[in-house]
Amino acid sequence: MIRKTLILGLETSCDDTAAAVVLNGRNVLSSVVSSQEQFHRRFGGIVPEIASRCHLDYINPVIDEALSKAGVALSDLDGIAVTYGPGLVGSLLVGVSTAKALAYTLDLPLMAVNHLEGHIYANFLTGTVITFPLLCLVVSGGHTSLIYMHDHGRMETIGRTRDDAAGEVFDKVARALGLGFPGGAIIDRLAQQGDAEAFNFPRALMTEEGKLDFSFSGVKTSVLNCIQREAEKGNKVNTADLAAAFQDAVVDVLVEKSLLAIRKKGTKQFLLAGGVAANGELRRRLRQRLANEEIELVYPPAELCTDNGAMIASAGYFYLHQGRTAPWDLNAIPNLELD
Amino acid sequence: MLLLALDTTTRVCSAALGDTERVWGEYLLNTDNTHSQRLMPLIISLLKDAGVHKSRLQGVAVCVGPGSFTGIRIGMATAKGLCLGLNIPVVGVMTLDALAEACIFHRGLICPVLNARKNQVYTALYRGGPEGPVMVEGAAALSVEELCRKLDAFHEDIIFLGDYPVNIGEIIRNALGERYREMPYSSRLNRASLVLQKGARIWAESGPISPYALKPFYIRIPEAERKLQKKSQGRMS
Ligand SMILES: [Zn+2]
Repeated sequence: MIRKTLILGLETSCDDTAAAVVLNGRNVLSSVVSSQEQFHRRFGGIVPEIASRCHLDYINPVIDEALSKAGVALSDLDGIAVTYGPGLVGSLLVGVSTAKALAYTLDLPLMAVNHLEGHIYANFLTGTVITFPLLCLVVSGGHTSLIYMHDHGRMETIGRTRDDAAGEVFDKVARALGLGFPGGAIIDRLAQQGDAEAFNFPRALMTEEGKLDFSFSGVKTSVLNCIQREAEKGNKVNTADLAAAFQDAVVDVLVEKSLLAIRKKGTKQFLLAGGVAANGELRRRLRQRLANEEIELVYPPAELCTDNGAMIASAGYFYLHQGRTAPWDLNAIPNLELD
Repeated sequence: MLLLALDTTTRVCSAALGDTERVWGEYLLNTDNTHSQRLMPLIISLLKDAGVHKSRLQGVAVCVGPGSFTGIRIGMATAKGLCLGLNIPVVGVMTLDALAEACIFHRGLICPVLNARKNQVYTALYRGGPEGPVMVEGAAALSVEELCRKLDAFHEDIIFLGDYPVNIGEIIRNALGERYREMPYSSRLNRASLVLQKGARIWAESGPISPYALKPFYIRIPEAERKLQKKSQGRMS
């Protein structure tokens, strides 16, 4: 008989309340994400206290929906996995408290998952065979990191942003251009009609040979200054051109640093993870460049790039197989590191 | 009917087990440790030490606020998770209602006061009686001065309890003089057996509710919301 392991994954680290049921760490039976975007929009950004309040209201209904969509009862589960950091502490605490109470009442093992690691595990849900050691670029609103994974649970951050995360910069530029939310997706779409050569924005740290760190505050400032300058002159900027040139600068850096990391580590596979992994230009350029080097590019479908419970359940499955279960005094750790 | 009662709305982290007639057990910690770390081990020890298997629980009584926003959510998310896992209902108990249970037969007024920070307290006013405390003034977030002005309208003894700091007690004592009475420190804190006592009464009178219908009682809107309202009011005037 083939062993079937069902893990319920909970994710409440930021402003999405998410739950999912995953079979054997690889098959998504359901993935429910309740977005709070409508509650934060009028504040022009995520309000932690409102996010925490929403999580408490939605967590149980989201769990129920995930179970019913998967056609699974609570009694069928083999474990509960939950994000315990990094993220907003109040938000994390709702997921952690719920997961502990559920695991205890159902006599199930509890797995505490690092949110970033969860993003990497979204790649295990793609059907592609992932082999260790692996190299992954985690790029989102909160992170831009190159991670080298020796095996399950053994991670090494080999490059990270020294200031802003790439996704954060996408959102800020989108806001300055009055494009709305989510900024990354809108810029991605708009840039397709723009001329990336129309403006020239800086690519930071590109010359520092061998350095795998990122810096995006320079390009952000440069774009924001450009928008302001044109506005003062009374010029109407071509937003499509500006979006294309901005995206080009960010993608350039991401691609070059990724290639540098691949050469350094000699891996045959390269993984993308996080919200910005859904960016069309980043995928296209990496695919092109990696094809020349005969390296396989793996990335999750768009809905698994953004925050979700399935990636947490997948990571939880592998944690469980390594006996890495969490104690009942598990706490949320807002600034949790990966290694 | 066997209930598990939880209170994490103040610095106290407490769990109790019991029914309408008896407190089977109660654990309480009043330290600076985080509730998120302490609550679940506290519940597990309580059930284990009382020799009660979790499957025997018929409901959860949980304190829904006012109090620390994070504390409210740790207790409530835990309660909702327990209810979901055990498929049992819940009763929500207001923090100040639970406190008033501690001096149920006091002849006169009962005034629970909680530290709400920002120079305010969460408070309400009750009158003791054989059927339980009866609310005279509903729960509100007030400055100590506002509370003193409010209490000025009453001309009888008022007994105070709650986790309010010494300096707040001094201000009220100065304002009320002889009428100020204070519960001793051993009986003035929030604790889960009070939530149990009040929760069991709610259960008997109006029945429990589904965990989906359970709502927190924050009193205050989020700071960001308040600022936004202030801004739009400024624009209108
Ligand atoms: Zn994320």
